[in-house]
Amino acid sequence: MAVARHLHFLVAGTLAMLCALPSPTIAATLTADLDRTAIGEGEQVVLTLTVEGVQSAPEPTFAGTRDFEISGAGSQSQYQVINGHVSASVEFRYLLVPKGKGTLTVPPASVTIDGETLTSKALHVTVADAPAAVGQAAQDRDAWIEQSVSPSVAFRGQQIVYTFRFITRAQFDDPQLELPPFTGFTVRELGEQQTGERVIDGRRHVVVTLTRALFPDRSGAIAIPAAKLKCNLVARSRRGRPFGGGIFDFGMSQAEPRLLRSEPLAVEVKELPAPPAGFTGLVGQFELTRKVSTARLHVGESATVAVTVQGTGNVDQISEPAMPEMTAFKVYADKPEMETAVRNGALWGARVYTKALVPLKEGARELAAMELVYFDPARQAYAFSRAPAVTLEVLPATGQESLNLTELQAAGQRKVAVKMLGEDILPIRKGLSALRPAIWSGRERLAALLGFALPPFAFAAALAVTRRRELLASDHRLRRHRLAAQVAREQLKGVRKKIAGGAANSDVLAEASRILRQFIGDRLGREGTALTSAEIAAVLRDAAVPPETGTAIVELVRRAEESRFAAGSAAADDAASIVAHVEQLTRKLERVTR
Amino acid sequence: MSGVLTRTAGLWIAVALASLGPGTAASAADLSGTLGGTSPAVAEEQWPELFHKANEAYEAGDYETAKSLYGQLIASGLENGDLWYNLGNTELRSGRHGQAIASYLRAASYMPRDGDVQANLARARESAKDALAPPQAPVVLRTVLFWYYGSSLTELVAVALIASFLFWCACVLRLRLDSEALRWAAAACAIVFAIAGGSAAARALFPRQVAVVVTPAAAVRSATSDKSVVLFELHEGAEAALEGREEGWVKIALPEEKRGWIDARQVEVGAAI
Repeated sequence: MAVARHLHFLVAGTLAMLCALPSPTIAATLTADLDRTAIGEGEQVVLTLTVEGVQSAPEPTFAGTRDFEISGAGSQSQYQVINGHVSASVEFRYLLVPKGKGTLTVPPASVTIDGETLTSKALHVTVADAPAAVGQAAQDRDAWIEQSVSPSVAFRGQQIVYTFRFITRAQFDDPQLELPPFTGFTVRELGEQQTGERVIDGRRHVVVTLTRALFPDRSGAIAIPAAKLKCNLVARSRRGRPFGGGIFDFGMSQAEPRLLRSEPLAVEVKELPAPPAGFTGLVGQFELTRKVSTARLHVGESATVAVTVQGTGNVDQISEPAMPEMTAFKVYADKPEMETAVRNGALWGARVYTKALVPLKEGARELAAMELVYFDPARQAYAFSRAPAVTLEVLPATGQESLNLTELQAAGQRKVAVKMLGEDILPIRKGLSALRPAIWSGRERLAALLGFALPPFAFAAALAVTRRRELLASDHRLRRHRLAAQVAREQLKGVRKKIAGGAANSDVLAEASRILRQFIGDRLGREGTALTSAEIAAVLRDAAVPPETGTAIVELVRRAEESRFAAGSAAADDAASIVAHVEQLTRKLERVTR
Repeated sequence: MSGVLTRTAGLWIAVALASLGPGTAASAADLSGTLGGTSPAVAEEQWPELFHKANEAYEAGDYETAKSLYGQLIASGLENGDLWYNLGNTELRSGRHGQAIASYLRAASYMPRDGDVQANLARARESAKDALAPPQAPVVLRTVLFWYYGSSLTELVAVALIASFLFWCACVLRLRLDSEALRWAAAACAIVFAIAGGSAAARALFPRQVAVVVTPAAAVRSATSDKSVVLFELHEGAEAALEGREEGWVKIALPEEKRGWIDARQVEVGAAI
C-alpha cells in the first residue's frame, strides 16, 4: 500500500515537472520530405511536412498549381525531454498521386505559427513510364483493387452485376472506399460485403468483395469511373518478423498510407426493341402465377385471389398486372407485399397482389386468364408469362336474406388500406361563428374582472357579519354596550305609549330615569338600574363624559329620585319633554362612550 | 380558510389580470405584415356582408381579394380562429405557405382542438423547404398538461372564472352550514381554479411565439445589422421559436443551439401553444 502511494507521488511529481518545464523557445521551422523522388506511372509518393519547435500546429496549406492529387494521411506530434533539452515537432503526412508524367512539382506548403508564416520548399518528382501499380505483376504488389461488370453489354433496364474486389496480402488499417458514382444507372445493393482468401502465385491473399446490381437508365456507352481505396498497409519486411507483426505495430512507423485505384469500366447499353402491348418495363426473367383460395363458395362468402409476379431482374419495376374485369364480384384489394433477395448472385424479387372476391350472384364465374409481358435479355426478345383462367362455382347464399350490398364487411375479412387519391386543403368556414370575435370586448372584460373581484368581497362581507354575530353572542358585556342605544330607544317608545295612555308625569320620570340608568350601565359596563345619582356622577366622571352632559344626566336622575320620594315635585315637568330629554342624553352619551 | 385565501391571492390576481386580455394573440405590429398594412377598418354592421364577399371571392379563385377582405375584417376587430383559418387557406391557395403557416398558427391559438386547422397546417408545412421540426413542447409535456395545450386562453380564463365563483359561493355557504360536502366542493373548485387559472396566467404572462419565414430565403445573422455575419439561411415556411425583438429585427432559436437575428420583414410572428 505504501509502495503504491509512493508510486502515485512519483508519477504525479514527474507529470508536474514536465508541465512546469518551459515551452520550447526554438524558432519554428517547416520542412518537407518525400519518401522517394522517382516513381512509375500509377504509383504514389508520401510527403511528410514537419513543423519543428512546436507542440501543435494548424494544418498546412498548399499553394500554386498542383500536379498531384493530394490527400491527408494523418498527423502526429512528438515531445521529448532529453538531458533537459526539450524538442517538439508536429508531422503531417500526405499521399500524392501524380496527375501526369514527367517532372512534376510538389507545391510549397505553408503554415502560420504565432503570427509567423512558415513555408516549405517546392519539391520535384519524376514520373516515368514504368509499369503502373495496376498493371504490375501480382507477385510485386502488396495490394490492389479490381472492378468488373457482368455483362458488359446489356439492354436498358437489364440487371448488371458490378463487382469490386480489394486484394491484399498485407495487413491493412483504416480503409476508406470510394466507389464510382454509377451515373446513368439505378443501383441496388447485392448482399453483404464478403471476405475470403485466394492463393495467387503461391501466396495467400485476402479478398474483400462488394457487389451491386446496376440497371441502366439509358442506352449508349456508359462509363464507370475508377474506384478508389485509401488505406494504411503494413510495409513488407524482407527479413520477416518473428511474431508476424500485427495491427498494433502500425504505431511503430510500419504503416504505409496507400491510395489504390482500379481501372475504369464502360458498359454498352442497347435500347429495347419496340415493346408489345402490356409491357411495363420489366427486364429479366419473370413469372406470373395466380392462386385462388377456393374454387367453390356461396354468394356472400369470400375467396382470396393472390397474383404473384416474381423473378430476377429490375424488380423495382414490378407493377400490378392488368386484372380482368370482375363485375360479378365485390373486390377488396389488399396492400401488395414485396419481397427481395439475392439468388444466384442476382437480385430477385416477388410482389404479391391479394384481393378478396365476394360473389354477388350464383353460377359459374370465370376469372379470365392473365398475362405478363417482360423482356428476356437471354433470348433478346419479349416473353410472356400467363396465368390460366379459373372458374369459381358460386352456390346460392346460405342465409335467408340475399346479400345486402351496403352491409359492412364480414368479420374476419381482411381490411383494405385507405388510399389517398388526391391532395387538397380543407374548405373555408362560412358559418356565422366566424362573425363572433374571439377576443373579449371591453364590456366582457369588465364583467370578467368583476366576476373575479366581487365574490371575494361578498365573502369578506359575509365573514364580517358572521364574526360580529359570533362576537356578540359570546361577549355579554359587549353585546350590552352595542345594543344599549337600541334598547333605550325601544324602551322610550314604550314610555311614549304610556304617556299617550295618560300615565302620570312622576311615573314617566321614574321610567325615564330607569331607562337612562340602564343605558349608562350598558354602555359603561355597570348595572345601571341600581345606581344613585352620586354613583352615576362618579361613573360618568371616570368615563370622561363631558361635564355638561354628566351634569344634565345627574340632574335628571336626581329629579326622578325626588319625584319618587317627594310627591308632587315632578308635577311641573312635561312628560313628553322628559322623554325627549332622555333621548337626547342617550344620544350624547352614546357618542362620547364609543 | 384564511390560509388558503392568502396562498391563492397571488394566483387570483394573476388570473384576474389575464382576463383583461384573453385572445390578444396578435399585436398590431404582428398583423401589419399579414394584412398588408392597408386594410381599412369597417363598421360592425358591415361585417356579415364583407365576410360573404370574401367567401365568394375565395370560391371564385380571387384569392387576393379574399385576403384583402378577410384582412379588413380582422383589422376591424373581428378576430377569431375561423377568420384566421380562412385567411390561411387564402394564403396557401396563393402559394404563400409561410404566411399560411403563420395564419394557421394564430387560428390554432384560438381553436387548438380544431382538426381542420391542424390538417391544413400540416399540409402547409409540407411545402416548407427546411427540414425543421416545428417548435413545440415535448409530447410527454403535451400529454401530461393536456388542458394547457388543448385549450385557448379564453377557455382557460372562463373555466377559472367559473371555478372562482363556485369556490367563493362554497366559502360563503360554509359560514352558515358546517357541511363536509361543501368543504370538498370548495377544495375541488380551488384545485380547478388553480390549474385553469395558473395555466391562463402562464399563457397570458409568458406567451410562446413562433417566427415563420415568409420570404423565399432569409439570412439569419449574428447581430442586428445587415453587415453582420450570416450564420445560416432559412427558407419560406421555416418555423423558429421567437426569443426577442429589437428595432426591425427578431431573435430566433432553432434546435441544436442554432440562434441568431433575422430581419423582421422576412418573418411573420404567430402564437404557439
